[in-house]
Amino acid sequence: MKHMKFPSPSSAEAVVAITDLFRRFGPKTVLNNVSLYVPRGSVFGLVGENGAGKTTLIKHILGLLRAEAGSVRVFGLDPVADPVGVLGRIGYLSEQPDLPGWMRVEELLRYTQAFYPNWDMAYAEKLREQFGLAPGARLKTLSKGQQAKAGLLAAQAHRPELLLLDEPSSGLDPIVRRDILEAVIRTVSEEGRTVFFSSHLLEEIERVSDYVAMLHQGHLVLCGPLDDIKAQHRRFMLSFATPQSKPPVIAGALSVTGAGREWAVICNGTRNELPAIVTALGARIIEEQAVSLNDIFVAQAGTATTAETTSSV
Amino acid sequence: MRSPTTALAWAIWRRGRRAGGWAIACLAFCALVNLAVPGRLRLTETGQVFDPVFGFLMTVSLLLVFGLFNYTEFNSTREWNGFPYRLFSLPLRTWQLVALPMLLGIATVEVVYVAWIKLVLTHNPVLKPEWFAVLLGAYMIFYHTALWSLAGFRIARIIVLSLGGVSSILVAWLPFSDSQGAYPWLSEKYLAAGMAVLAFISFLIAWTVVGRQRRGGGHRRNWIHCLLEQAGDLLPRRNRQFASPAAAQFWFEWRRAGLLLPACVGFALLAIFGPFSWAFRTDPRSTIDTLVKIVAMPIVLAFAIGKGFIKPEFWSTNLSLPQFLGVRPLSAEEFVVSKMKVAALSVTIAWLLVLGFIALWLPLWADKTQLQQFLREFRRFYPHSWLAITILYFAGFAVITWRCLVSGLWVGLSGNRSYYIASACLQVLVPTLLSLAAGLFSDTIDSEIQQHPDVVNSITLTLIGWLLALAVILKIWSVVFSWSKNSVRRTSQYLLLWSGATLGFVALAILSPPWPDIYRLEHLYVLVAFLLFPFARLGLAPLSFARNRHG
Amino acid sequence: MQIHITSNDGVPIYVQIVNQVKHLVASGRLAPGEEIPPIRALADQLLVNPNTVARAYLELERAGVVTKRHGSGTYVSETPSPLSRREKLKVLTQRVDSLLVEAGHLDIDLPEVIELLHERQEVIRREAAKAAGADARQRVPANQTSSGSKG
Repeated sequence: MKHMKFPSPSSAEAVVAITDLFRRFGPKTVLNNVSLYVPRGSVFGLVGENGAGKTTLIKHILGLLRAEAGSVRVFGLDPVADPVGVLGRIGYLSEQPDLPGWMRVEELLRYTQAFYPNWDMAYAEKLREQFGLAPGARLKTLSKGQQAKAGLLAAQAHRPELLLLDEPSSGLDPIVRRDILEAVIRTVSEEGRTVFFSSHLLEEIERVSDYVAMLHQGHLVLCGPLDDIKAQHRRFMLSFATPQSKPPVIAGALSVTGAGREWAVICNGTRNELPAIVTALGARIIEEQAVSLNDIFVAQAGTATTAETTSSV
Repeated sequence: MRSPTTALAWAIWRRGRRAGGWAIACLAFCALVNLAVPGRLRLTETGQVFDPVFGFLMTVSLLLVFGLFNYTEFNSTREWNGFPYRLFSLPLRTWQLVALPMLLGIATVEVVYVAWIKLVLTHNPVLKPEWFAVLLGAYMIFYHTALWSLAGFRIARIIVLSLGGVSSILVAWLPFSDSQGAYPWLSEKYLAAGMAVLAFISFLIAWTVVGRQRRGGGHRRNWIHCLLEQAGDLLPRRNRQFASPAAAQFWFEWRRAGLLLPACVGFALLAIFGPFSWAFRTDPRSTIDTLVKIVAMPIVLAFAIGKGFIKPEFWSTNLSLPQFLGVRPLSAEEFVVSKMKVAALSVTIAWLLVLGFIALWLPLWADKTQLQQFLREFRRFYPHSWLAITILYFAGFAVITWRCLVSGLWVGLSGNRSYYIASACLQVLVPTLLSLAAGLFSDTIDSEIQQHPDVVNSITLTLIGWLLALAVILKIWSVVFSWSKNSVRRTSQYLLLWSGATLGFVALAILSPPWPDIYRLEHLYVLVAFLLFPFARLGLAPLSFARNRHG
Repeated sequence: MQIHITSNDGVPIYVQIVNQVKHLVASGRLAPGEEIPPIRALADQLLVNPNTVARAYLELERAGVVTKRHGSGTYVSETPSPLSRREKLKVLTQRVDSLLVEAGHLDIDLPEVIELLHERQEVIRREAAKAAGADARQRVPANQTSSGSKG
C-alpha cells in the first residue's frame, strides 16, 4: 500500500492542517502518521471503512482528542489549547447528533445561538420551517431524521467557517440526505467557507467533493483532488487467449477481478507499464474505462477478492 | 449451540462469568478449608470456628448467583432495563423465553446450594435443608418477575427488591419460630407448598407481563415522569435570547440539575416535617429535635444530590463529557463556573424554603416552651453577639450545603469512573467506620478521659491542633498549584469568595467559643474554619473538565 | 435546463455536465442566446459542488458552446462552436464506434443504421423547429429523444 501525502499548500490557505498525526487506543493503532491539509473554500471528503479512524480524525480536529504525536492545527490554532477560538468557528454534526432530549427545538436554537456571535436567527427560522421542525417539540420525541435535521440546523445557522460532518447521512432517508448535501453546497457556495465531511455514501462524496482522502486501517492511502484521483485510476478489461483458473498476477494493480478469459484490472498511475505486462502474460487490453469512486474505494480497501462478472457488454 | 437452552445458558454464563467465578471460588475455598483443616487436625469441635465465615461466604456466593441471573438488558427506545428485547424475535414461545432463564437460575442456585451442603457444611449440617432449597427456587422466580415486570420503574424496582430481600430472611425463619408446634400451618411442608403456589403465580405474572412487552405493550415511561413533563409544558417558557454563552450554559445546567435540591427540600418539608411537626405540636421536647433535623436536612440531601451534580450529566451513568457539551465553544473554566452558580442558586432557594417553613412553623403551631428556654440560655452566654452568631450559623449551613454540591466537581468532571466511585465510597465509609469505632471504644475512651484528664488535654488536643495546622498549610500549598492554570480574573474572584466565606467561619469560631473554654478549643475552631470552604479542589475542576473533554 | 448526473459510471461530473449541455444545444433544447442557470443555482439543483459546475462552464466556454457576459450571466453562443474539424471528428468517432458495435450485437447491418440516422435527423430537426417556436417548458418528445440517445 502506497502512502500518499497531499502537497501542502501554504498554511494561510489550509483551514485544517494535520501533520504526522498518530493515535493509539490501547494496543490498537487507530491513526498512523496521517497528514492532510484542507484548503480554504473547498469540500473535503473523507472516506474509509467502519473503524478506519475517520471519527477519531474528526475528533482531533474538534479537539475532543489530544494528539499523541504530530500536530493538528485548525485555522492555525491548536484545538486543544484554544477550544473556544476553534469551536466557535466550526459547525459540527455527527452520526449520532447526541442532542439533549429534554430540550425543545426553540430552546436548542436559543441555547446554541448564545455561543455563536454570528448566529443568524432569520436564517435559522427559515431552515426550521424548511425542515418542518415544530418549535415546541422536545428533541427526544423527534425521529432520527428530524434529529439529524435539528443537529444540522444547529451546526449551520451561525454560518461557520468550517462545517464538519461526521457521517451525517448514515442511516437516514434520502430526503434528509438531500438536506445535508444542500447544506454542504450552500456552505461552500459562500466565499471562503470550507466543508470537511466523512461518509460511507461514496456517491455523495463524489458529487460534492473537491478533495478526497481515504483512510484504511489508520493509514491515509489516498489523498488529493477528486479529479486527479479519478484520472489516475483506470479499469482495463483484459482478454486472455485461454481461460485462467486463478487471477493473473499484475504488478501495480489495485484489484484484479473476473473469471475465465476476461479479467478487469484497476490500476493507479501504472498505465504506461501495463501494456507490456499484459502482453507478457499473453493477454490483450480490450477496453479502458473510467472508474467511479466506489470502485476505487473497494479496490483500495483490498476487499474485492470475490470473483465477479464485470459488465463489458 | 444445539438448542435454544444451551444458547441462552451460554449467553448468561458469558455475561456473568466473573460473578460465577467468584461464587465458585468462595465454594472451592470453603470446601478446601473444610476438607483440610478440621479433618487433618482431627479438630471436629473446632470446625465450628469456621461456621460464621462459611455462612457469610455462602450468602455471598448465593447472592452472586442471583446477580448472575439478573437477566435484563437496557432498551434504549423504552429507556428501561428489562427483559432482553432482542430475544423477542427468536422463534420461541413467550412462556419458553420466560421459563428458560428462570429454570436455569433455579438449577444453578440449587446446584450451588447442594454443593455447599455436601462439600462444606458437613460438620455442622443445616436444619431443614429441603425448606431452604424450595425457598431459593421460589426466590429465583420472584426475583425475575420483579426484574421484568417493574422494568419501567427504576426506583420502585430497587425498593421492591430490597424489601423483598429483607422479608425473605423473615420468611426463611418462619418454620423455626414455632418450636411448640402450636400453629401447624407454620410447618415447612405447608409453607413449602405455599411457596410453590406463589412461585407458580409469580411465573404466570412474569409470562403475562413479558408477553405484553413482546406485543409492544408495557409502560413506556413512568407516570411521575409524564406528570412532571406535562407540568413543565404548562410553565412559561423562556422566550428571550441569552445574554452570553455563560448565561446559556447556566440555563442548561439549571434545567438539568438546578431544581432538584429545592424540590427535594420542599418535598421533605411538606410531606415529612409538616405533618410530623403538626402531629407533635404539643410535645415541647420534639421542637428542638425537629429544628435540628430540619436544619440538617438540606445538607444531607445536598450530600446525596452532590454525587450526581458533580458529574457532567446528572442522570447519566456515563462520566465522560457528552459530545454535545464538548463541542460548545466555552472554556472549561466557564463550564465549572456555571455549575457552581447553579449550585449557589439551588442552595439559596432550598434555604429560603427552609427558613420560610421555620418562620411559619415556629409562630403558628410549634410548642416553644423549651426552645425559648434554650434561647434565653444562649443569649445569656453570648449577650452581645447572639444575633450575629445565629445569622452566621445559618449562612454557614447554607455555605456548607453549597460545598456538599460542588466540592467533588474535580472528581466527577474528570470522567474517571474509578476515582469517582472511590471518592464516593471514601465519603461514606470513613464516617461510618469512625462512628463505628467511636461506638465500640466509647467506654474505653470515657474511662481514659476520666482517669487522665491532663494527658488527654496535653497530648490529644495538641496532636489534633498540629494536624489541623498541617492541613491548613497543605491546603494553601495545593491551592497555589491547582489555581495556577486558571485565569487571573476567575482566580481573584474565587479568592475573594473564599476569603469572605472563611472570614465568616473564622468570625463564627471566635464569636462562639465553647463556654467555659477549659481546653482552649477556640484555636482548633479557627483552624477548622480555615478548612471548611473548598479552595484547591475547585481550582482543579477546570483541569479535570479539560482532561475529560480532550480525551 | 434539465441535466441528470449519475455517479455509477466513472465519468467525472463536470464531463457529464459538459456533454449534456452540448447535447441540449445540439438538439435545440437550448437556443442560441438563451441564458443558462448561474453556477450556484445549477449546483443547488444538481446537488454538486459549485466548483465542479464552474469547471464545466469553463470547459464549455473554452469549447465555444457558451459565452460569459460580464455582470449578466452565461449564455449559449450565437455562433457555432469553433472546435477544429479534427477534434469534432474525434468526438464523433467514439460515438459512431459504440453505435456500430451495438448495431453489430443486435444484428443490424450498416444500411439499416444509416437509414435510422437519416430518420432520427429528421425527427431532431422537427423538434428543434418546434422548440424554437413553442414555450421552452413543454417539450415532451424532446425528452424522449434525449433519453434515447443517452442509453
